Amino acid sequence: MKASDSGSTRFDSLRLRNYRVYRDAEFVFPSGGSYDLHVVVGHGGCGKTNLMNAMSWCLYGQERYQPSKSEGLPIAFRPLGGALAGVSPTVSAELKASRRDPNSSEEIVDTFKRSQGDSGLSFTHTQIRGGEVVQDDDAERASITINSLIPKEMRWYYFFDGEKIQDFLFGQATSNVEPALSYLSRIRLLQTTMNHLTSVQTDLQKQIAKNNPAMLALVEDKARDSEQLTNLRTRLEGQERERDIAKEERDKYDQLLQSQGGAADLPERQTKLEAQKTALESRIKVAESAYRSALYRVAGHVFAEPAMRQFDALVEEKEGRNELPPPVEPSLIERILNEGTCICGTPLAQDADIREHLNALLRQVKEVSNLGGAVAPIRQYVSLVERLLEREPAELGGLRTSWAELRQDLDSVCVELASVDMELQQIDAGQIRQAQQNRTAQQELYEKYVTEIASTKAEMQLLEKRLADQEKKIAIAQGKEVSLKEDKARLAIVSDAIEIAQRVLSQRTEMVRSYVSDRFGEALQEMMWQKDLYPRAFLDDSYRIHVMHAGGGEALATMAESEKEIAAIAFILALHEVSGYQGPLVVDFPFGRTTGKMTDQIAEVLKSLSQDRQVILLVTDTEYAATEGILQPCVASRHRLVRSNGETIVEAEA
Amino acid sequence: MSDEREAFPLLFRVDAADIEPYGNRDLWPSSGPNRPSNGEKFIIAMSYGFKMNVRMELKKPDPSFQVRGEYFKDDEKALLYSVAVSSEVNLDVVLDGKRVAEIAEAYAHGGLTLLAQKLAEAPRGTLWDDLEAEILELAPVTSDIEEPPTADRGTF
Repeated sequence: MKASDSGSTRFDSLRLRNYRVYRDAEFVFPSGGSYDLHVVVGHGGCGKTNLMNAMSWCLYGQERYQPSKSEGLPIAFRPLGGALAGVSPTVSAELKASRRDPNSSEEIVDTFKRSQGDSGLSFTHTQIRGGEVVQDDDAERASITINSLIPKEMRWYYFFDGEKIQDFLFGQATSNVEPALSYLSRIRLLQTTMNHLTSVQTDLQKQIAKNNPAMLALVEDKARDSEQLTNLRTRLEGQERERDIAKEERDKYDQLLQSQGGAADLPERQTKLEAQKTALESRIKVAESAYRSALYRVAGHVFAEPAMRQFDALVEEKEGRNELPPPVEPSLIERILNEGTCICGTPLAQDADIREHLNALLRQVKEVSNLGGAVAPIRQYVSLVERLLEREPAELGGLRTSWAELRQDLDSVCVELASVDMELQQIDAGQIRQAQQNRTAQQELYEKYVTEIASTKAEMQLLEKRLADQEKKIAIAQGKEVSLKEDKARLAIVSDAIEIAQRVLSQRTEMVRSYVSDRFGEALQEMMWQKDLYPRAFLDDSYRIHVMHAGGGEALATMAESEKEIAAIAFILALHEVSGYQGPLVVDFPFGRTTGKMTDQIAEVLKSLSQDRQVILLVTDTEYAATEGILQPCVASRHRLVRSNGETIVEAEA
Repeated sequence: MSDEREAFPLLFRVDAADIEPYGNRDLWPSSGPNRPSNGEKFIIAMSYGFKMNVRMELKKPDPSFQVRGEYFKDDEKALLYSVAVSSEVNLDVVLDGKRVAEIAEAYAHGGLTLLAQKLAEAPRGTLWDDLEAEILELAPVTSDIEEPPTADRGTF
């Protein structure tokens, strides 16, 4: 079944005039074959993303992805050498979409045209049904029509970058999924109905309670709380809007910074390098100091080393002569002299010569003993230095190497710093810093609103509970009140209606979430090549996506890139199906994250999808060369983008 | 009986001509926390004087600049005594603290004069590079220093 046969919308053609790189270009996407698969091939920078942007701009007045190099540039085509003096060309994009009326099978062709020029902006819609022009709308009606085909709230699930498709699965997806599902649940409509019914209910309750002050007080309390709840809802809507704006702005700065590549990191790198330089300078001082201190010490030791050797030699010489330590203990001689008796007990003769001899011996021994006493510690010191000298030169070498290495590190840091400084001079560092600051500011704003939203929701929950209690009390009081039967009957109807609306609201939200969740699981199973690997995939109550391993664990983070891409496509298709808004899939850079077999698998999935919906792939030459074997036999149209004389030319290939 | 403490001199004199070299930052480059003390400079100068065999008696000792002996560490005392013993070729000199000081002072004066002269002649900042080369040449080779592996070792 072809896309147009199934009631889903498909794009028949796109005509661009003076839109960015396109001066005058036309893409025709014919239908009729078994596969509604279209390929636009072109190298980087020749306008693939802008083609998708043009579709989005034409339908919603907003581009899908703004490449940073186009950031801030006028949307109008600029010929080589800049804009033509005094001429501001009119930019226009005309998109022709077709579908089949599911009831009458009649073909309906909608043409949307958006223009921007000197005469201002315009957005028009023309519908041809069965060959007759049946509608020619102004901008407001044109917007309503496109919203009935592909709602603005869900547009990002139709046009996307394959490289970023995984974003649908993680973190930030939650804030995208919730509004989309709220839209699908028609929550806003139900909410408005409930607000109206509550106000009618309050009036009726006041009417009934007018003669009963206690009940009237209850009703007035409830009325006040209801009004506060309505205000909170309005506040919540505002906060959610502000959060989404902050998020969009943050993402825009992220893209801008990403596109700057290394340049975006330069200011941060400069700061880090300067810090490294200071730390290294300080470490170098310490290392130099340690090295010099060791050098001075070793210098003293090495230069005086021969003196120590000579000292050792003289000591050894004396020791050899048995003069160090003295051969006789001086106290022994002193005892012999004092007692006049030899150590063997024989009395010494009173011979003056012997006494003189012994006294001379005592003096000599004492001198030697003094020298021995003085030399002993010096020997220890010398021995210490000799031991030190065994390792000091190696240590000195080590300290010198450490110092030199640090200086080398410093040199490298200085060279890198100089290069960063030079690069910073060449780029507009101010602009990058500004973008980083803006990004941080938007992130802070986003986080602020996320917190505020949580607090508002909590406040609302409290109020809702209080209102329910008040309602019960009023119902009890009303039972006792004798009043007009008619008012009571009306009130009963309104109260029932509110209850029903509340039930529908919660059921509908849950139903949509559950449908999307189930369909997502099924779609993933259908598309996944290894069916048993991930038996379960679902969307939880907090709108977070889960893919489970056969063993039960969370698999999303560890899945292969191609598997993640398939999971994201499955989720997108689930949203399409549940919403009933069946439209084309326009995918820029679909094989950007995959290689080899994984690329083949994605190509097979996209080819298979094109059997019942339109798939438009914007691919690089390399991507197409890698998938040509799979895609080419099924391709319904192929366009090649070629840059020539400052503009992109579209060549339709057979 | 006098012990080593008594024999060790308490003060070492410095010649007036050496005051400037002792404070010269080019002669004693050190940018960190471990700047050499005057005692350390004295020992280095003495060792260098001894190594170069240049001994100069003090002409005009400067009483305002003296190196205090009690701050010398054990390894420095080893050098002071060894230089004195080697110079006199007599171990007994260790008992004469005054003589040990005179010998050390003369070698320190001679060594510092040489170093100052060398500093003046060498390109700026290279004095200690030259001295380091001399030190490493003189340093005893220890067996536990690994030699780098040769390229042809272990080839097929």
